[in-house]
This record gives sequence, C-alpha cells and structure tokens, in this order.
Amino acid sequence: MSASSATLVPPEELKKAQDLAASVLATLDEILLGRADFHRMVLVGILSRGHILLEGVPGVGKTALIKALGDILALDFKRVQFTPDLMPGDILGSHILQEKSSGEREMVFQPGPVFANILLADEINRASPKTQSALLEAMQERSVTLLGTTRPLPDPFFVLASQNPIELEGTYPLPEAQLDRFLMKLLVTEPATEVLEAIITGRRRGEPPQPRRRLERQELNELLAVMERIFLPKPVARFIARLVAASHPGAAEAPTAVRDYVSFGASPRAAIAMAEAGRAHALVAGRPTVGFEDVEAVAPPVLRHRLITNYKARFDGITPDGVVAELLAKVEASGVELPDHVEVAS
Amino acid sequence: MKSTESTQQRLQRRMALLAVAEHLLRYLAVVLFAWGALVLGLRASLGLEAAKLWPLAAVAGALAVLAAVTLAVFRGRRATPGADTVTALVDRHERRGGLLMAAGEVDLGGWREKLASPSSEEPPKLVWRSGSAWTLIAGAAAFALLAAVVPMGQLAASSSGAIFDEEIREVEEDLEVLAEEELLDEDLAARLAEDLDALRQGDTGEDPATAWEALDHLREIAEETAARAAEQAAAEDERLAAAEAVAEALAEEAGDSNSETTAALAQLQALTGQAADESELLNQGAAEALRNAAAAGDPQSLAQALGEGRQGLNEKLQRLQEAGLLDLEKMVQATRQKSNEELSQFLEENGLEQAARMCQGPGSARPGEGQRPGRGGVQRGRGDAPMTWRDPIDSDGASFADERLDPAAVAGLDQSHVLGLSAAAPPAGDAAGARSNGTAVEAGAGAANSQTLLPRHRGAVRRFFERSSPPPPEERP
Repeated sequence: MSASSATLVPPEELKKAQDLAASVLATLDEILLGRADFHRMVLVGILSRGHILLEGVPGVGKTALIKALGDILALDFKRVQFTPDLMPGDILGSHILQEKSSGEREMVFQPGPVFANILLADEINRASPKTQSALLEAMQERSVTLLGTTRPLPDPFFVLASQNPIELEGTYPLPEAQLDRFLMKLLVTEPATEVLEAIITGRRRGEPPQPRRRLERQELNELLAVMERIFLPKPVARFIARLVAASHPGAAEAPTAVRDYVSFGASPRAAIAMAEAGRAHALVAGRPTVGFEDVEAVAPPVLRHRLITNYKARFDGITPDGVVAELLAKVEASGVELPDHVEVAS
Repeated sequence: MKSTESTQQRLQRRMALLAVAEHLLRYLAVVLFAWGALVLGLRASLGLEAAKLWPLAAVAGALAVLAAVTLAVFRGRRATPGADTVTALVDRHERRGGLLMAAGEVDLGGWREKLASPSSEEPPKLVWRSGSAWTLIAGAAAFALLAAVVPMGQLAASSSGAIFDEEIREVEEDLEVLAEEELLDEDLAARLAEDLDALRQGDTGEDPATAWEALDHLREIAEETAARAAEQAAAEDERLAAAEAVAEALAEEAGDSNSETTAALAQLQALTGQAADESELLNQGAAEALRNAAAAGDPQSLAQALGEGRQGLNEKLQRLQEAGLLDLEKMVQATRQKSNEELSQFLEENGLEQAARMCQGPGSARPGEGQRPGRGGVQRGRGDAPMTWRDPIDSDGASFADERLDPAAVAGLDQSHVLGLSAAAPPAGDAAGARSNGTAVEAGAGAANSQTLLPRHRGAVRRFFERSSPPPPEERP
C-alpha cells in the first residue's frame, strides 16, 4: 500500500483478517505443540509470499510442520526428498513422447512436483548444485522454462525447504544466490521437556491430530489482499534501509560486530523481504501499519542467512544472529541523533 | 491527537534546548579557557595590572560569549531532529505500532479514534548527563578567575625580592670593606650607599631588569676599586721592600759610619718620608710611624717601620680577598702572563722568533715549562706537535766513533731529505715504506734488507745460531 491510496485498511476488515490468521496459528499450535512464536513466523513468511528455509536436527518436526501447514491452508502440497542423484527434471518436470489416437507423436510436458502451491524440499542441501539451481527461477520468477516454453507456477507458490545442519558429509551447501531467495531462515529447536511430555502422553506414536479448521483459498486470498494494504510509514522504511546498509562492513553506521565479523552484508532483496515480512507481522498482530517492533521481530530470520561472516567470526564463535542482535541494538530505530550526553529515558 | 502533537512539540523543543545547552557549555568552556589564557598572557608579558586590563578583557569576553551563544544556537538548531524523526521517536516510545507515523502520511480512517486515546506509556523523557560538561565549565571558570585575580606583580616581586635583597646586602658589605680600608672616596661611598638605598626601597618587581643592571654596575665599581688597590699595593710593597732591604743593610753597618752610609741614610729618610706622604694605601698609623722613623734616622727602627707598613698592605689585600673582591691567584697568573708577553716581545726584537713563539704557545709561560712531554718521533702526533724527548740526552763524556760510509751511501745522503732526528733506531717497516713511495733514494749495494723479527721467533733464531756446528761428513772411501 502506498501513501496515494490515502486510507488505512478499516479496523473491521483488519480484525477479520487477524482472526483468520489467529485461527491458523491456533490450529498450528494444536498440531505442533509448544512453538507459538515459531508458528507465527512461519505464517508471516507465508503471508509475505516468501520461501522459508527451515534448519534443524532430524526429528524436531520440520516436515510435520510443513505438512500441517499444507493441510490447514488447503493448498496443493508436494513433497520432494532431495538426494544427490536427484535431477532437475525430477523437480521441474520433463517432456515425454506420446502417441495420439491419430497415430501422430508429440512431446507432451509432464509437470514435476514444483507445480504445486506448497513445495516441501526436504533436506535440500543433499541435492547437487545443478538440481538446487533448477529451483532458482521457480523461486524468484514463480515460473518454469523448459525447451523455450515458460510455464507459470500456481498462485500462491511457496517453497518450504529443510536442511540438516549436523550431517554435512555428502551435502552441498546452498549457494548464496539461492539462500538469498529464501525470505527467511527459521531455526527449529528441540521442544521443551513439558512439550515432549505432552506429545508422548497425548499422542500415539507422536502422530499429530488432523486440523480442525482449514483455511479456504478464498480466505487465504482475503488475507493476502489485506496484507497488501498494510501501510509502511516512511520512518520505518528508512529504518529498514539503514539496517540493511549498516549490515555492510564498510558502511558508516555499521557497528563493530559488522565491521569485525561480516564479509558481505545483506542485499536489497533483504530490505524488500524485511518490509514484506514486517507487513505480515503487523497483520498478524492486528495493526494497519508497520511499526519498528515489527521490523525488529522479523529482522533476525530475514537477515541471518544473508550475512556472510568471515573466518574470524567462526573462530570467535560469533553467529549471524549475534551480529543481527548488535545491529538492532546499535542502529537507532527512529533515527534521532541526540547530542553526546543526551539520551531518551527508557 | 492534540495531546500527542503537543507531546511531540514539547519533546522537539526540549531536544533543541538541550542541544543548544550542550553546545553552549562546551563553547563557553573553550571561551573561558581562551579568555583566561589571554588575560594571563597579557598580564605576564606586559606587566599590566588586572584593573587596567578589565575594560579590554570585559569587551573581549563579551564578544567571545556572544559568538559562543550564536554558534551554540546555530549548531543546536541544526542538531535538533525534525518533526518526522520526533514523531517516530514518540511512536516507538508509546508503542503506537506505526500509527502515529502513518498519521502524517495517510488518512487514518477508523484508526483515528485509537490514536486519540492516550497511550498507556509515558511520553518519552530526555535525560541530559551534564556532569562532565559542568565540570569542564567549572574548571574553565576557575582558571579564568585565577588568571584575572592572581597578584602576579607581587608574586614576582616577592619571589625575586628575596634574592635581590641578598644581592644588595652582598654589594653593601663589599662597599663597607672598601670604605673601612679607605679605598673609596667619601663622596663616592656616600653616592653608592644612596644608590643601594634606592634599589632597596624601589619596587623592583615592576622593572627587575633595570634594578639588576644597577646592582651589577655597583658590584663592578667595587671590584674595579679593589683591583686597582691591589695593583697599587703591589707597587708600594715593592718600593717598601727595597727600602726595607736598604734599611736593614744600613742597620748592619751601623758601626762603620762613613760619608757614604750617612748619605745613603739621608736619602733613605727622604724617600721613606716621601713614600709615607704619597701612599694612598698605608693607613694613618703606619704612615705616621714611617714618618717618625724617617725623622729619627735610626736604620733599625726604619726597617721595622717599613716591615710593618708592608705587613699592613698585605693585611689589606688579604681582607679584600676574604671579602671576595680579589682573587690573588688569578692576579699572580695575570702578572706571569704579562711577564711572558714582555719576554716574548723582547725575544722577537732580538731575532729569536722561534723562542718567542714558544713563549706565546698555549700554556707555556716559559720555554719548556708546562709542556706535556710528547712521545717523540717524526711520525707520531700532529704535524705541529712539539718534539720533546722522553729522556734527556747528556753528551758530556760521550765518545763518538767515526764511521766510514760507502760511496753509495754517501751519494744517497746527498739526495736524501732530513725528516727528523731521533736517538732511537728507525723502525724497519717504515724504512720499507719509504723505499716504496720513492721519496727516499735507494742506498744501493750498501743498503740492507732488514726484516722485523717477531718476538715469538727469537728463540728459534737464537737456537739456530747457538747450535753446535755439525761434524764434517766423513769421507767415503
């Protein structure tokens, strides 16, 4: 939404959208216990029409989450288990020679699993770089080009990929170009003890319950439409721009952690992603405008996989999350430059 | 909404005020430091009193403060955040979620009511940690105050006054000694005493250079007077010593009175009376005793009076030395130097320039005296180093045997250069060097190629010559 559209989304309309989002979150929380904030961030990614990279050790519920999300959203859902021998055609589809009833033969396109609303790319870092690169156009352009013919992907289209950070042998780390195409990277941690206890006592073999409510496509479109009308004020946009600029070690506003530990900062795509994710976060929170707190909430998952840290950071045990935390702490959100000894009381 | 706007305006005004205040304190501190340094510098360099500087200092200070205020207002206004920024700050602080910021850009519609409701959060408050700024300006103010009120003139006078009084006292003591010894005229003594009193009474702190100059002049007068008296005393002592010797001789021949001794005694009486009358250094008692002795005509008492007169002169010089007005040792050296110059002049007049130069050489009062003995040899020391001998050569009783040189050596001597004369044997290595450079002529068949025998080889050479001659080989059948 731009300033020329003149009016904020009405409270009633926003309330309805917020209730829809809340119902999705409630259903997700019922299916997967103990991860309310994580679920909120996944929904933010979905509402932002972004692709999400989930990273976590095996067995923490990455695949279950994505399957549950596909069920709740009532969208077409495909799953691909990435392996080293997976070929691009296995994902995108291929042309097959078929004989018509008239006896004439022609090449018929057989769509791959990428032609779905939600593509679960399980253990994406196990596929070869050639196969990983086959997803580049699909993720960015939301279309597939084969033999000179470009075919659009279904709308909406999300790639929810998972990767295992511990079994690195025989894996192919995602190239930076592909990492940058993921709107956010979410870290899936182990559930708490109470959650584990609830899982093993309330569920046989850990199987999650079926969702009680599914979001119809029309409702999802309404949500996405409201999302388009969430207003981004100029000071917030300036804050996002300053954050991204400060993530580069050569920037004037770059904090010490960035100067010391970052080789390459975030791209302009990160700023776009942060703005979109901020909008979605505001929608989920029931606000018509994006505030500084929305940006601060979505900054870590948006920036953590876009900051290329150097060897010194690995040596000192500095993670991208630590750099983002200092970035948020040092860059004043409102942009107020007070004299040296004057500060705003918290 | 209005309350929010007023909150923003108040916050913006307060930010501007704090920015101006922050800059103002900083600039005022700089102004105070600069003003204090200026006042201190002017007072120290020009010697002006603080009261005389007040108009200039006040004008300069007022102008500087005005400039500081203007600059602080300018910088403070530039540093004040704009309305958008303040709105963003309030939005963030009151957790409005961007609604307040959006109010300036879009129509809020139904959200206006929510914005109008007061926030649960307190409006942002600005905290100014001004401790360091106030400390800085307090230090600057203290410095400026001290620079303005510290009594520099009195401090300078009191610090140099003690030294100055001591100097005056020393000069006064010197003049007293000269006056007691009757070496100063009464008029001159009175005038010098007046000058000393004027120096003591005057405010020396205002113009210490002139006072020190005057004091140096007085000290110079005292030292010159003492030196002149010393020279005069030496001359009189010489005359009195000669007269005393004559008187003692006459006293020894008192029994053999004849016309010559009578005439000599009469001449001695006349000369002694004249010396007593003309002497400026003999005190009145000694002069009177000389006159009485001269009138009595007794050689014994005359010799005694002359001796006492000489002793009085020596005591006078001794006292001048004790007072620090004379350095008799330096005077003796100066006299000796003077005699050296006279001797040098005499030698030059008689055609002995080399001897005259030796007299004028550094530290050589007389030929050969005071010289450091050199190491000798034509190749040792600098070219102008005097050649001296470690041991004196006594040729008395020595006999020299004539030696006939071969013709080649005689011919070589004709073309040779005399480089020096030495009692020691010329070093073998140097002789080889002289041959190589061609300056010395080869002696021909008579010259021997001598080699230096190293000490460690001497034993082997000795054993070679001391060995028993081998028996002659037996003849083989």
